[in-house]
Amino acid sequence: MVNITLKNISKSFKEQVALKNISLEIKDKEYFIILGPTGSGKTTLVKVIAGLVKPDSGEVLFDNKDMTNKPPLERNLGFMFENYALFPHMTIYNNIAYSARVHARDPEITHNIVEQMLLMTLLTGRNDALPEEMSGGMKQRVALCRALMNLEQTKLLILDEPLKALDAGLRMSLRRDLLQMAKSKLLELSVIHITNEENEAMMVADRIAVINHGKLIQVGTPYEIYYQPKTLFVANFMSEINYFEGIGRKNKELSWDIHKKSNQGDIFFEKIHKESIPLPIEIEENITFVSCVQKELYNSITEKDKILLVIRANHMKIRLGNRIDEKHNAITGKISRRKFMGVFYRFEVIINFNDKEKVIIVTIPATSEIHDTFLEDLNVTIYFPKELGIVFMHPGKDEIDKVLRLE
Amino acid sequence: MKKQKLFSEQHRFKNKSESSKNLPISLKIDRFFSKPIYRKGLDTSTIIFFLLVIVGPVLYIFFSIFLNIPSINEDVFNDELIGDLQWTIILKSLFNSFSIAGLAVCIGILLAFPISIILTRYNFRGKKILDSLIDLPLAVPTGSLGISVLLFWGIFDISPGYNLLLFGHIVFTFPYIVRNMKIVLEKADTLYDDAARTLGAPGFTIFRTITLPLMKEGIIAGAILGFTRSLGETGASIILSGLIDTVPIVIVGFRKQLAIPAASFLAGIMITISILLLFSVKFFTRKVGFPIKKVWPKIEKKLSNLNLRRIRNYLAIFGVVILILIPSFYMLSQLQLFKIGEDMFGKDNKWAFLYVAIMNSIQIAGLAVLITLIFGIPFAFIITRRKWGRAITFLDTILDIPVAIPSAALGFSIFMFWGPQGIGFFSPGFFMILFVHITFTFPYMVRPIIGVLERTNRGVEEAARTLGASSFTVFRKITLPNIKQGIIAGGIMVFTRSLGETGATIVVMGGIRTIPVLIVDWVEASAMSSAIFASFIAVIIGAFLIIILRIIK
Repeated sequence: MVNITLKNISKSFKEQVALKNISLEIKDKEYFIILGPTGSGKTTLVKVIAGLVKPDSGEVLFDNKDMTNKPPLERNLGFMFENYALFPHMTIYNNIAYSARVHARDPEITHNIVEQMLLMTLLTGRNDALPEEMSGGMKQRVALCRALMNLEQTKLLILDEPLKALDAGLRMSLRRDLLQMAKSKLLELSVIHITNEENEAMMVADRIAVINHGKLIQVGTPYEIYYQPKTLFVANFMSEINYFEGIGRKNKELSWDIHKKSNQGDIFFEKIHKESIPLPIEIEENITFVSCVQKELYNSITEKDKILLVIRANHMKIRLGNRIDEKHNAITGKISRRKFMGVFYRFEVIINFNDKEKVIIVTIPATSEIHDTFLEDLNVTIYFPKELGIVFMHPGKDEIDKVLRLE
Repeated sequence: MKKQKLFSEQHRFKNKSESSKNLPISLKIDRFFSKPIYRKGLDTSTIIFFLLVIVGPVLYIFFSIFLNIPSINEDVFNDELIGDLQWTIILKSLFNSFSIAGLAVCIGILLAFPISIILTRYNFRGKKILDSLIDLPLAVPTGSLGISVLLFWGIFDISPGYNLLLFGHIVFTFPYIVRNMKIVLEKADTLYDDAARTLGAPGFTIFRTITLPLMKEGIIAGAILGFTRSLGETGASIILSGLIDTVPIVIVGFRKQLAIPAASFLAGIMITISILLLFSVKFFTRKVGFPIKKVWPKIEKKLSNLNLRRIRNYLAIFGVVILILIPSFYMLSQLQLFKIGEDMFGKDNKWAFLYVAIMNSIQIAGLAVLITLIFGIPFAFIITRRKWGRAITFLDTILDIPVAIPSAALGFSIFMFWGPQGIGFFSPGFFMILFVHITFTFPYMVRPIIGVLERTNRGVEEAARTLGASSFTVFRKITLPNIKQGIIAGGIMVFTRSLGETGATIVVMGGIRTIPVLIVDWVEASAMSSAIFASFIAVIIGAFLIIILRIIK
């Protein structure tokens, strides 16, 4: 049983701000992902939770008990380090048994547990191997066992980029293993897992916190992070996007009923977009798209504000020919480049806005039909359902450049 | 658009053969010397230099002992007048040297643990000053340190003898020990400490089971260096010994009495023991581990107490101040400025002697730096870059021999090899001193360069090569700037060691004097205030060098 609460945590190293006023709550038995690019302060944040770094201000609560100034040795959580930090001078058996020895637990029971762990992780018989003799995957398993050995009443496991140093194939299978372990009835763990890969985050997370430049940008379920990103940064971090700049025209009359549900959506809209209102957005003089906007944001938008309409590449649809369907946000263009990406095709479509060229990225699941019919230099129509548009207040040209170049 | 322009610009370079005709002269020279034959020539001459300068003299001493068995037997064991007195002196001096070296290193290690941790893991005001002060005795001739120690403990009525010798040896072995421990501590990632902390280990347990085993290499390296420095030290020992003899003192004494067979016999014994010690330590320490399985949680938790740690830190700093720092610099307070004029420019005109000695010292040290540099860089390259298998391991091991054996013994073996008794190439004097100094400083130059070379990213060099640079250009423009720090660190070590060396110099100096020898001479002649003044100048030179080293770092 453990609920972790962070209140207004701030931390600077000399001049550099590592964490800025972060408040978070991590619930019992939750698989919590901290997602952010390299150098965003993720590791510092979990080190604050583990007690390795003392915050300049703020509180760390475990089950409402103040732990801010308690040393790591009173926290009893499992911490798996980036690069694993296996003690190079100890055998893997001694590495795993270290915390039990430090706590003077019964040697016989310890021996049994360690042996069982080695059995479960398929490392039996390698008790006396040194860390340097092991492969990356093995080290990772040993580090995990060592961290698990330290759990007592606080069943919290912190994983700092646990899959970073591994091959792609191994990473996939280990994600599954991690999830299985975290959710097993036997251990009942809460897990905090740091990563900079959105795929990894989506696969294992109950909730995701996105961090950048030491600031907490958004916390939410994978659905929320994906469909309702709070900033352009979050939107772009999760997958490839297209964006249009425009102005919200609340009263603009369109030739089609913007309140009619489109049939292109997927089932999650209903829940997520319950509170949203369709908003016509004038991109150019004669081009207006419609996108659903959250009620709060809708109310705050005036005709003076520039806004940003973002559509994920995989939410764009494409069809052959110049057939503008009045019921959709559609625009015509020409396929300039086609790439086969395995799971999907990626198209770069050039569209013309009153003589201004713009490249729109469209990705569609790969099928043989697409392979045969959607060829380069063909004229196509691209469109997107209004429910999948994401609208932000315009953050300024510089900010857009900064975010989109970050990849 | 921009890209297209760039590509079209590059077309201009397309005709490469044309551009190579107009190469600047420096690149042409580089290309010329990049031919494999020059590399092979350089490798060969470096190896020859190494074998002649370092291996030759050491082997020759055994050869000469073997040749002179009858005269050694006669002089040392069965002298007509004094019987086996020389053998008794040798035995006693061996005991004294080894026991003092052992004790000094043990005390040094005990003090160095907390100090090296304080200097690497803590942040406080004055840390840099403390760090420099601890390094300073490295750069001061041991003779000067000897005077200072003599004067300081004189306050407490400790007169020359075994105890004072021990105190003196602690002073100049300590910096070597701390230095090596600091290097490994800086390298040992705090990551492992952090990992142990999250696993619930208290501070003392972490130190015992994680930090200490990871420091092992550094402790051993420091201990070996400290031990061998203590064994070989002459200058301070002469000043502090009173009636006690250590091996270098005896060697110097035999040499002065021209008891060559006895001196070569003792030098041979010492070299044998030192080499055996070096190899056995290198061999055994890999197998020795610290007990890390057992933990005594209650006791160790108590020992991890914050107050206890504070007490330990204060005690360590107090110990260093009393045992090392004040004794090192006490002499400066005894500098009698008003007497200097009369002393230096009086009827003895000591200033003239001092001036010549300073010039000799600086010239010898400077030339030693230059020559060890010229051969040290290619040698470091051979050790790190050539793939000669066993031969490299062999060269790497014997490189440490000059550090391991007492410099007086080394000086004596060089005197035997190159001097009138052997090849007859040099006679005692300036060049022989220089030669000896090159021999025992060579490893000090090569080790840091090897260190940096091993750390440099070879990808950078390969990148330069793919961009078309010849191998000599790569060396000049890429490698050399990268290893600059190692070269400078090595150069300063060589300079300071050369400046402070006494024992080897006395053996081969003939009529020439260097600062440390002059200091010892003046102490023996009871010209204390002049000796202090000379030491003061030596300290200033040393401090100056340490400051340069700091700035570069």
